[in-house]
Amino acid sequence: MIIETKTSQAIQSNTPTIMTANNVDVFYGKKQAICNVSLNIPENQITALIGPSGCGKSTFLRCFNRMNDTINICRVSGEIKFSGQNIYDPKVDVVALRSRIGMVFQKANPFPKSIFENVAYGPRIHGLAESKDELESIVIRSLKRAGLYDEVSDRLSEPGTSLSGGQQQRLCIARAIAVDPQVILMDEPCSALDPIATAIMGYCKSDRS
Amino acid sequence: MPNYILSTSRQMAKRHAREKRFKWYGRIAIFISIAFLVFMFSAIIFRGASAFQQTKISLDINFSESILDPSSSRDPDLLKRANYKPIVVESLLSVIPEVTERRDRNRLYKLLSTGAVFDLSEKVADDPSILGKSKKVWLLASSEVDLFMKGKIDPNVSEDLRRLKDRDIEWIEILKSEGRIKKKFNKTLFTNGDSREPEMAGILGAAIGSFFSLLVCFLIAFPLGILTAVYLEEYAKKNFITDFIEVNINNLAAVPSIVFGLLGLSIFLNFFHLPRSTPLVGGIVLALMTLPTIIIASRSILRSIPQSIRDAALGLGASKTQTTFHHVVPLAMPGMLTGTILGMARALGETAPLLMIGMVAFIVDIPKGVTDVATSLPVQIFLWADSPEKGFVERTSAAIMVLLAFLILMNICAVYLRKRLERRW
Repeated sequence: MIIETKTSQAIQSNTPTIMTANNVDVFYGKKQAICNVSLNIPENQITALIGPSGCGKSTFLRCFNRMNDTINICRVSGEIKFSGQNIYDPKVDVVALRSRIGMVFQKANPFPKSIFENVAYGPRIHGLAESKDELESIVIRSLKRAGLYDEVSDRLSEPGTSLSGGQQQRLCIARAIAVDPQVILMDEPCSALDPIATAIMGYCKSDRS
Repeated sequence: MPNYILSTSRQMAKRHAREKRFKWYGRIAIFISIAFLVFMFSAIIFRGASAFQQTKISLDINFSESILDPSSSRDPDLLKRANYKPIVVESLLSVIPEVTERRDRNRLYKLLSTGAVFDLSEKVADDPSILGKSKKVWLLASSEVDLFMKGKIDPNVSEDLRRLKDRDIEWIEILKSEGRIKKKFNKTLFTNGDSREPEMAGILGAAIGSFFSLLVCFLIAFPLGILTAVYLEEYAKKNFITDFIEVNINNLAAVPSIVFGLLGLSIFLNFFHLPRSTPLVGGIVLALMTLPTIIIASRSILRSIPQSIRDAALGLGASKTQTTFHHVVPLAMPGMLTGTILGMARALGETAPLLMIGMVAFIVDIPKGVTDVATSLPVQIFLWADSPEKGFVERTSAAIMVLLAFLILMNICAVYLRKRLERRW
């Protein structure tokens, strides 16, 4: 499946671009999945990729935080820049990169731990919280921004997998927000959400600045 | 309105019948396997249950100071070496006075186990104040008397065909009428090492030998197996080297265990000169044997952990090692433990490799560490099954029961650990 490059002139904006993709090709083994895509992504805005099922949206998205590295046969060529640096440069630490560019996956994948632990994991491994109270406030703030806090405020210690599909998806979003990344890649994050929840999501995104 | 057929048509009936038939096949298969199991267990229990009892004879022993400690030294070593036979014979004669001939006295004395005097000497050495007093003591009966008491010797058989003669039986009847001969719980079986005399033989030595071997086996095989599995599954690039390693691990799992014994013999004993017949070498050999099982089980568990969990952690900026040890390994741990315990259970029942490295010796002492000579439970069963003494027949079955009990215990541990670790999420 090949994305036809429609120049991203559609995104008329004055805000500076945070990510750019230049002539990106992605191969799975010998099969080419993405052919010569270039795209500018402005900062502090929502940029949506739209296309028919199986056209390579997810593959393209996964290039932006190098999640495709985990797939053995996948090869990416071209250039993707994150605030001026080529993220496929050998000097780039992929772990540091992913803490700047978070990702929410198509299928909700909470850790089989408590709701609190799910959100707290990111800040914990990156040392974002000095104290237990600070960690707690990060968790609560993230859950609020994902529009989930009111539903789970009294059962933060219950397993994240006990939530409904849509709640799990929002939990994953809260988890991604908690690390405070510059960019969040969302792979159809609203596929499991009802329209109202989606509206809340839109709000939360515009809330980011 | 169209008339849809909702009742059972002929074709539907056929389908239902097929389903029913298949259910019955399954039930029959389960029934047959349970029947075999019940048959096996009842055979073992029927044969071995009597071994948990041991005939003992109570005698009023006069701990005469002039015989046991003529010099009044109270030295425990001397007391242990003193001649206890006269005082035992004396008390036997007080119960059965009609025996006068020397040969008959010896026969009478043979009603007791040769171990009886050891028990007496231990008693006196532990507490010398007993000297000069008279006390009622329960002493081990000989294996023949024990078998007779358990109804395993038929007194109607011609006297020439049995070791227990009619006179012996008369004496036993006298002891019985005075309530001096009784079957008691066989503590010896659980507190002694091996012995040539069935009534003195116990499995403690073998059980501790097995325990030490399994300890060594676990300490080597578990970390090596888990680390290998995690590395191969999570870190290693798939190329022809990893393929080669994988094929070899699978081959090793299929290698007969006796080959590992030969390997242990030639490498650990002949090349590294590790101490022969010890749980240390036994444990290493069992570890080599268990490793492939643990690796294969752990890898398949790791493979079954969904990729989405790894993606989730990686997407948050966790490093490969954080992802693996914070998320993947904890999720896989119950399964890996189960695999390990099942591998260890197999190692516990393993005999052949231990024969090769000399853990088949006749060892009376109970091992105190991994470098003491020892034997193991299955080897002990093998040795006893091979023994010509009739008294070992029931003890063999009893040892099998103990081995099975340990295996069941290990499996319960596996289930318990799995349940506990799973609940943590």
